[in-house]
Amino acid sequence: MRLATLAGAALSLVAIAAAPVPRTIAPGTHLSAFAFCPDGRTLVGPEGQSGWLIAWPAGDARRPAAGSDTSRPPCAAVSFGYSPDGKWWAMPGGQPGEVIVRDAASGAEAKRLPAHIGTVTALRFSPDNRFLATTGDDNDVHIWDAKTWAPVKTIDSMTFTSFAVAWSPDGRALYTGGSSRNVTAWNTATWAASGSSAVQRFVIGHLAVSPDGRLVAASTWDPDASGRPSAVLLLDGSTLAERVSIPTSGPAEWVAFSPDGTSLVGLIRGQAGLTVWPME
Amino acid sequence: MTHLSRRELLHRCAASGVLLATPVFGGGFVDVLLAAEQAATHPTPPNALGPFYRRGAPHTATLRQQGDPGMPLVISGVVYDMAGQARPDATIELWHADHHGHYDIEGYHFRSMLPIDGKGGYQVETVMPGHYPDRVAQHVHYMVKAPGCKPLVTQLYFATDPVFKGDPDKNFNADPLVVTRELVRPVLLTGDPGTPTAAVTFELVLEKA
Repeated sequence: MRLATLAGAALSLVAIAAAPVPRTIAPGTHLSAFAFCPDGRTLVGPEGQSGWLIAWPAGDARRPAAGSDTSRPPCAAVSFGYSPDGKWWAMPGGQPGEVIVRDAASGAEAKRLPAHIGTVTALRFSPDNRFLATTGDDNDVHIWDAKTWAPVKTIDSMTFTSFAVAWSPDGRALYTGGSSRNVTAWNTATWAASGSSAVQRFVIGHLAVSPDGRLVAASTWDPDASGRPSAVLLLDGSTLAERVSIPTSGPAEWVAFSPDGTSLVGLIRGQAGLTVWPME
Repeated sequence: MTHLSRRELLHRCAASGVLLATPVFGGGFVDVLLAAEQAATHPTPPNALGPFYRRGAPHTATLRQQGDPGMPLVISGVVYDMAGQARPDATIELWHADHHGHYDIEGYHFRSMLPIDGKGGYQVETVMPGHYPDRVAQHVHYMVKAPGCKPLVTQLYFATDPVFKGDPDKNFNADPLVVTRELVRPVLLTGDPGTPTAAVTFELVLEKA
């Protein structure tokens, strides 16, 4: 595996997408989260305090209704995600603990889920589009039926807040990470913990799983602003053993693998645009 | 334009605040009681839960351990519902940073599931929290639950916090997470002037579910 760092949104997107990337994606973009659209070539994310969504390339048919919900408070932008089939997108709502699910084509609100007490810290649809996993400051993980929006399961055995949640590509594992400073794998057949990574020095801020399921990328935050370096850890998808640690200039707020698995994309605190690590 | 990071978003959520030096039982105390009575007529404003809540805190009213730095602090109050009824069946989880502004994210220091007496009252002995690096104001977190009521997640702030520059009425929102003056409470200093103890009353009023 070779890792390289390319900073700057314009350069990064050339590396991510096969198609040319509009120049409108300039350094100076300040996202709080992002997601690959189901086409695998479009990135979208909420920017800044306004909660407006920006998307590129512009005019994509599945572009969410930008700015349709500007009344959201800033906390609305801490997580964001599409269902893999492109039918839905979800993000925290205007009320604490609330998740709003919208029709990805029209932007119309489909459902409001009273998911958590306190801030919804992360959410992610399952690869088979059947479930939505949400985490919150209340230490809980909720699994929702993505058809009926009924609660399916609550994992309430944790004593830490999870800031990140991610599914394995086959849907058999759900990964969580946060204040526990490690990553836990949950067997989605039994919802029992099936493994965990070594405890890190830092809070786990975000998780992503490679398309082949072999790697789990975990970004680390410095919990006490002491100036210690942050990193993106690449863990073995099966054992959660650390394989590579990528130092970052600041906490990686968000990480995602490109759908073709050729790149890992990170949103680094204090840096405009996105950072991309090509992966071979 | 200020660009907030994901972490910042997740985390967001003086003297004039000192009513008395000693003794406790003066006009200021009456003011506090009157304020408490008035406060019981509407629900306590919610405030961010924050990322450092940990389920499973021990049942104790004494969080200050021998040798802990920081001004001793006693917080007390009563849990009410909107009907003005005391709620001895409530549960209060409380947590805050230590004197240096650090949360214990490995253990349960300065974290508690507080005991509540038969009249809905609570009291906790702890220390004045420090300033957490990513936050402006000193604060104490609460999660309060009672049957038939909405869970209340809120924070207590201190009128003596230097960030309010001696005028919390005017400067309460110096910390953007302090969205209402109501959560900034007066601080009473009691005991030996050389080694004072801070006392704060914080009534908690729960909204009907």
